[in-house]
Amino acid sequence: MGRKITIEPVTRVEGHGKVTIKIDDKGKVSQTRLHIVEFRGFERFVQGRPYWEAPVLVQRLCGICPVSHHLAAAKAMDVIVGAGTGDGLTPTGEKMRRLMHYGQVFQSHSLHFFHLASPDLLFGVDGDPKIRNIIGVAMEHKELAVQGVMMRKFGQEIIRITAGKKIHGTGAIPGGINKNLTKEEIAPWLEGDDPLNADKMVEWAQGALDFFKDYQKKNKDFIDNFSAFPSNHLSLVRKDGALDLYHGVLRAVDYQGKKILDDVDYQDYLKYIREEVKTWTYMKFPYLKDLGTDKGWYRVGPLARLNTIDYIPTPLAQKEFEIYKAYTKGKPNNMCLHTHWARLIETLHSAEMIRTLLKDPDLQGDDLVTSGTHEKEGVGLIEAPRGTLFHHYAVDDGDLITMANLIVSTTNNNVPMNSAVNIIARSYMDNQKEITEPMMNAVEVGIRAYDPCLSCATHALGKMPMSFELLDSRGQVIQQVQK
Amino acid sequence: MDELLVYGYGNPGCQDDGVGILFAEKCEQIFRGIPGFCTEINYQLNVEDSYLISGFRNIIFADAALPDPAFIGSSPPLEDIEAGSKGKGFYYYRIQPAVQIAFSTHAMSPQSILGLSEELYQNVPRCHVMHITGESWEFDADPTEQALEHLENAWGYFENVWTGIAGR
Repeated sequence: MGRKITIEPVTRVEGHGKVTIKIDDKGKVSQTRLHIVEFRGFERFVQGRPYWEAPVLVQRLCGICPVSHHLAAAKAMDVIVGAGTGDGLTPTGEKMRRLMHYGQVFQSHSLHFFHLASPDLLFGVDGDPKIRNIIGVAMEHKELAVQGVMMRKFGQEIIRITAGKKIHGTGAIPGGINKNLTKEEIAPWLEGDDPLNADKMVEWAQGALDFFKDYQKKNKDFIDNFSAFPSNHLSLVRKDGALDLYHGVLRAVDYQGKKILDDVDYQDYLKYIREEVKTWTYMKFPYLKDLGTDKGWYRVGPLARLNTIDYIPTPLAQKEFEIYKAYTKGKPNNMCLHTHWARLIETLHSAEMIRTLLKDPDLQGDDLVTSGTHEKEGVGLIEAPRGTLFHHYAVDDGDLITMANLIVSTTNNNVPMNSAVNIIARSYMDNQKEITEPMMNAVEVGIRAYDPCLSCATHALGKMPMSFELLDSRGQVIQQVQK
Repeated sequence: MDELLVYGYGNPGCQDDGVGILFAEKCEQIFRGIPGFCTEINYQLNVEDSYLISGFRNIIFADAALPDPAFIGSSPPLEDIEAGSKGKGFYYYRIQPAVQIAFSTHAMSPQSILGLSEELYQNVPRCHVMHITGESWEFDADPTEQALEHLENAWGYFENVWTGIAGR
């Protein structure tokens, strides 16, 4: 008899999602879908507001990754106030924003690896769900758990001193930044006691990488083959091909590394990228226009970034990047769980960048803001922890926002996540008489590798009822759990 | 070790969801300059809060809740709700560390934070939750009058609680 399996909510991800898997009468997986059930509507809410409110207002899309939205909106507003398209700020303005951004990436990546992903790696996809969480990690791998907590705290403190507060800060303004950093504010995080200093964070980021590489060697078959599938990859890269999470030009490569887009000014993104809408989810499906909906979808995020770039401009991360690239003989990496490896390389890079920036005297500069001839439209892109984030606004003569278009990182990964669900479901559930919790967790492991922020992706307030329903082929409810 | 941390969390952009933060901000005004009495506000609880609370003897987590008698999430047994805090739009109750997390997300519960503090830092502060009931959760910065009234009731109750802690 055919069945429909629903996994709701998807656990250990940000926001709320639901997976449905239909199994036909022969026991084969016939359809899989990742549904995003939240609707936010920020693109509509922000219309009619003065443009200078956007960096503060739009970051309230999310309490998890607000800094990324804050900075992307600020970059779009830089264009509108005539401060250039990403590289026109004062040295103090740009470096303060960069420090804020690397703090965000560092804490977000640390949180994801230690809190969300490590339970599956340490206890197994089929581990006891009662301990397959951060408390279980704390009980069985205390040192790892402590490091995860302190790395996250360090990143949050870097955000606090640059943005003004940890959540929904106000540091970035159109054309620059509203404060600099004194040496006294920097000292605790550069020279403070262990472990909350930049040197220790670099050391721990390296340690986390070593841990994963060792894990990958011992679990090669699982890490290399779990949900591996070819795709295009897209990200910003610096003009010289370096990894640059704050600013760059658009580049996309196919699964073999051939460039599909290169050196594209992201102000022109609409010439190259479109979004498709489907009836069964609030999350849209971006694709490369010239390749169409079937072949034009792409991945973003750590795995994609390390496929599009040529090198990393910090020494320790560059060394790790060379090891990582050698594993695939220089070709793009399409192995889903290698995203964790790529994410940890970026974590190390972010720690190195934070250490370098904290020593930079430009952070004490007094020239904070720049401006020029106002424009009516501006686009801001940034490489958020989860991938390329697009903010696009138009304003009228009264400086009020008339249009907003946001393509958030997780939306860019919509097709890849759906593909992952499909591949994993077929691999684990085809011809199985019983659908078990480990099978469903395997689906979640695939989604979790993308570190999705489902709250952002549909641009819930308050209470979100959660339910699990098992339906037979006639649509009759066999089992229901409500929380 | 410091004496008391009042931690208010929620979304101040969603009407009554921000009353926990308002409660903590009221505490900050009376704690100012008093050593060992601190406040913290945030959007939600996170793993690093286990480190923060490990440095205190007493914790009060303040958050908004759905109206009585039950609310989504970890509804405490009625007998655990402290006398004097029922029926006035708030409830104040003691919590213990969570040994297990039955459903895990990035957003931690107060019990989970306590559990992490116990596992990682071998400290379990005496911990209460101050749940202040709200009426509306729309996208608006201003709480409802009802929630503000509940906040005042909770505040009146708390003034006795903290006096007891401070006088110890």
